[in-house]
Amino acid sequence: MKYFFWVIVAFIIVSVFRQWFSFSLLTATDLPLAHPELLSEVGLLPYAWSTLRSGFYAPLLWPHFILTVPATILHQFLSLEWQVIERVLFFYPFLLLGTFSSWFLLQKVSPKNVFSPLTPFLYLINSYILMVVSGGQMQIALSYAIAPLIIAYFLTLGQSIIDNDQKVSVLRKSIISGLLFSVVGMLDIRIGYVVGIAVFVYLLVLFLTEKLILHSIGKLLLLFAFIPGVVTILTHAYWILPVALYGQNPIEQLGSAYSTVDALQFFSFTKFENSFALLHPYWPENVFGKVSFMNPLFLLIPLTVFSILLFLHRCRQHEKRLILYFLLLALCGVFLAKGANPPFENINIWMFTNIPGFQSFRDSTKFFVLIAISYAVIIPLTIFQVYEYVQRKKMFHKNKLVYALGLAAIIVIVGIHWQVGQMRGTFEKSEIPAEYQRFENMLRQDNAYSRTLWVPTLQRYSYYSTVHPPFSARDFFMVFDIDDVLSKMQESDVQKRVEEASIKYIVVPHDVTGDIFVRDRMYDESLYTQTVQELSEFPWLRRVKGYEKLVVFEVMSPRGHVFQLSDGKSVKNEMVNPTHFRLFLTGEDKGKTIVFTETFDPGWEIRSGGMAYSSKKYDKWNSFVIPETTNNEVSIRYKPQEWVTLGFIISTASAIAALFAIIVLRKKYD
Amino acid sequence: MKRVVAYFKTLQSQLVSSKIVRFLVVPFLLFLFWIVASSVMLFTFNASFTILPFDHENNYTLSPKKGELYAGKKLTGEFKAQEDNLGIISVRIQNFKGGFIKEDRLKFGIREKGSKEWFYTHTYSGGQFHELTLFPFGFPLIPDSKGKVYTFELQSSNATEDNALTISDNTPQLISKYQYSLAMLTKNPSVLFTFVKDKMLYGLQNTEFYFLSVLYAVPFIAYLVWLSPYSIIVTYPFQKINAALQYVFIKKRVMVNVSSVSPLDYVIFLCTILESFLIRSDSSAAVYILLLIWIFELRRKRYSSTASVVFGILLFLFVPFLIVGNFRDVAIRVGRWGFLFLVLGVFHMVLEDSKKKPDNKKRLSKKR
Repeated sequence: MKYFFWVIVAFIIVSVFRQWFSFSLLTATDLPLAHPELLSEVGLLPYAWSTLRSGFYAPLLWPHFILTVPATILHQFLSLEWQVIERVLFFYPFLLLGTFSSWFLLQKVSPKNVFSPLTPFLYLINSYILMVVSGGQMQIALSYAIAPLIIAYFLTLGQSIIDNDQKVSVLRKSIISGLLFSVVGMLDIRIGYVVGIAVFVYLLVLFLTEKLILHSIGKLLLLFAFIPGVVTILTHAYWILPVALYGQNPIEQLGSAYSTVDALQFFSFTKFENSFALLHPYWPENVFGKVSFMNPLFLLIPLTVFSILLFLHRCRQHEKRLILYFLLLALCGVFLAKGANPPFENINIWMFTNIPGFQSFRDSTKFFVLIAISYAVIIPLTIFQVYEYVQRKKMFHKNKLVYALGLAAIIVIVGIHWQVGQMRGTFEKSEIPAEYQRFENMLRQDNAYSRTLWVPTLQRYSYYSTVHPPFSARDFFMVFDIDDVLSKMQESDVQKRVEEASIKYIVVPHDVTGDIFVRDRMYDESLYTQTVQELSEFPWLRRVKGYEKLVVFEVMSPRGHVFQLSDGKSVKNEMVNPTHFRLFLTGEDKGKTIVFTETFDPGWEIRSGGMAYSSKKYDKWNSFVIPETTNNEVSIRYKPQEWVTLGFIISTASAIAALFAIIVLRKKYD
Repeated sequence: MKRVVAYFKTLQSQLVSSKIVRFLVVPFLLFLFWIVASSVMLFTFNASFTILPFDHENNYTLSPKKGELYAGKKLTGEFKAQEDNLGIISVRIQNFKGGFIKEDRLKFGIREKGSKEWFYTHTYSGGQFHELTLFPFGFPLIPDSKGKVYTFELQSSNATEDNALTISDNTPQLISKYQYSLAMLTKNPSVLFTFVKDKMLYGLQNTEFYFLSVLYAVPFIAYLVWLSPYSIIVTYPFQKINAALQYVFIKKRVMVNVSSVSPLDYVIFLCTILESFLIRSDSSAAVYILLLIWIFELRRKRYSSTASVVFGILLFLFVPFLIVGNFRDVAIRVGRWGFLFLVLGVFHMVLEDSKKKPDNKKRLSKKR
């Protein structure tokens, strides 16, 4: 019977995600095309600076070992194309992990539940995760997929502590929990935080339902929080250490658009009824800010979930406690996911401003993870209780009843999400437009360093590499609206700023997906035409023909990556890695100021003959005065890299030690 | 620590037994809450504090008065401004259909009657008209608007049967709103006096204000009834309802005991219905008050968590019917109540579970 449900569930999942099983390229707003050069240039070691973003990169290094390194290996050593890599690295692991981990979690609560295939089904087919994967947020998707496994492991650990299992066994489970938690953090640190909340709620339930003595509380905290916490922090040392020692708040660095209460209020598109019904506010169009009507059919989901309360007196004590835990988790998720919307919105705002880490959740939809986990676990339990209730009344034949209830549940879930066919992004084939390919070929042939400014921003097919890093005009001018970008371009010093930023090409993208030139959430051709027209009027730009609607302008006299301030002459240089550049100076460079066109950061310094000279700010770039007595070859280094290297050693050693401990403890236990 | 707890327990029992507290302080505080909450409501009804709204009952025209606004069709209106600083007009028009999917584009324009040029125009996307029954069209303030006649137009560009907006003939169909600056109000007492008077009159003209005020009065009235030696007069009808319900349940063999359901429980249930059906403005304070009364009732009557759960699920069962009947706003409000009762129910269950469990000390200290 179970197999029958598994076959149906698998068939529907494969049908929904059918494009993932083709060989075509899949792209989305948050899953742009990764060009072969980029995959070849990324090293195996983590770096504190990104030349592509021109900024301190340590706060965003967490997925390095789990995604960047495997992608590099798959491309550099196995010569796989991006189409294959994205499937091997993102899409298939998402489906497999999501299915297994959600099913595994249900087994912890109700191992003999005949409706268990419904858990992975609802976990993979719900409006939240479908929106996430269609938009290409695959790091979030992967961490979402693995989250139930971690919660399941913490539930096992909690039970072992309460049952007073052998110390060795409990310690081993505690270390494994820490390692798993570390993995979810490496995929997406925010989902790691959300899983942390789930673990905290379980700890709270244990405190409330078990009358613990002080010694037991200490033991619980040590094994449940301290050891996993230490394992996680140590294995994440490669990014935590530089961030902590360098003292930069990564969220505040991003500006007020990310860290203020206004940002939270602006991004709170999820209303209470959305979060309660597990209905993503953008379903099904997935257009930012385009909030859909509340579809009442979705209310069937919470109604089914909370109906379990009517059957709770029939559940065993262990099962009852876990059901209450998942209900609490769902309620927490519902409350947090609605963001700064009523009811009790002031509490959300207070948490955002006062609780460390909550600033990362200006878009509160990440908390949908808690709701999805809880609902996916409880729905099969409710249906099972209904089945037992009806069976006691002896109204139907046992098997017929199972088929009827199971199929009805599947039909309802599919019926509620019937608009899945309208989804775009990774659910449809992508083809690189010919003009983008031609522009890519042209840039590949140009080996000299130069940047490309995309006005107003990059398109998902935009070519970039470390030799030709991109700049989004929105980031370059620190404004968002296209009108503001264009008015900034009219400022008197813009030519100088563009030339000094080593920008050789200014490109207006051909908006093939209709998500850049948008007014009132709809593509507006006039914005594109206006942008092209205004740029065409600049005398210092020359239009390069042959790219049709991809409009390319060449800047007449761009500066080099490193240049002399006095006369703009380029200084010969070579990139060893993103945090280390070599300069080859001539006699006339000495005693003069040179500009290094990476975003100003006091961590950059020039090293020569045992001496180090810190960077000074010139406009938004770094500048150095070259001493007269310096050698002809000097290095420019980014100092926080030393902490990344130290953190890398700590992380590697910790991961090896943790794995070693798990093996040794296993042997002792056996 | 024990001393502190004991001190507070003594203080609590002294306060509860004190006649001044029971007969004077508590009723006064509850009365004060009623007055303050109602006053805040009065001054913020349908607009923020410094905005004066005016419902146009007679002195306006609207064409068509009812129906749907299809492509190319125009909704035109005319009204006389009552004050200076006209900045918003709200029109009773709503999107019941397609939402943001294939939404319509609507061009709005406003000008003084007789003027050839539009004073202000703006294009709206049709999906936005879902949330508010009275859609507010904002424009730059008109400082000398008092006494002038204004015409406005709303034209659909591509509405079909699937996404057309609906004009409702419920009153008021049109509200004009006037902005007062704080400086103007504080510097000129006569303006402040007129403004306060007009604001109060506006609130008092709306039945919704009275409904909300009734909700705010519930704690005060319930307390007075509880204190009163004649409370039996109030509780007697509810006892009769309980008896009738119990009779029906016994006859239908439903094993539910309703004899302990108190009048206050009925009041809470009625208030949730009242809040869901009749109130459109922000009523968060009323929601909090009702929840607090329910928590108080759970303690007083020693109800189990099932009471909140059943209450929550019952409310939820209303939701699909309300949606089918096109009462979306009400459905969402009822759903929110259901959620809040379920939250209480789940927390209550966890607490009950913690009380039932035997001491875990032995289990944790056993040695293997």
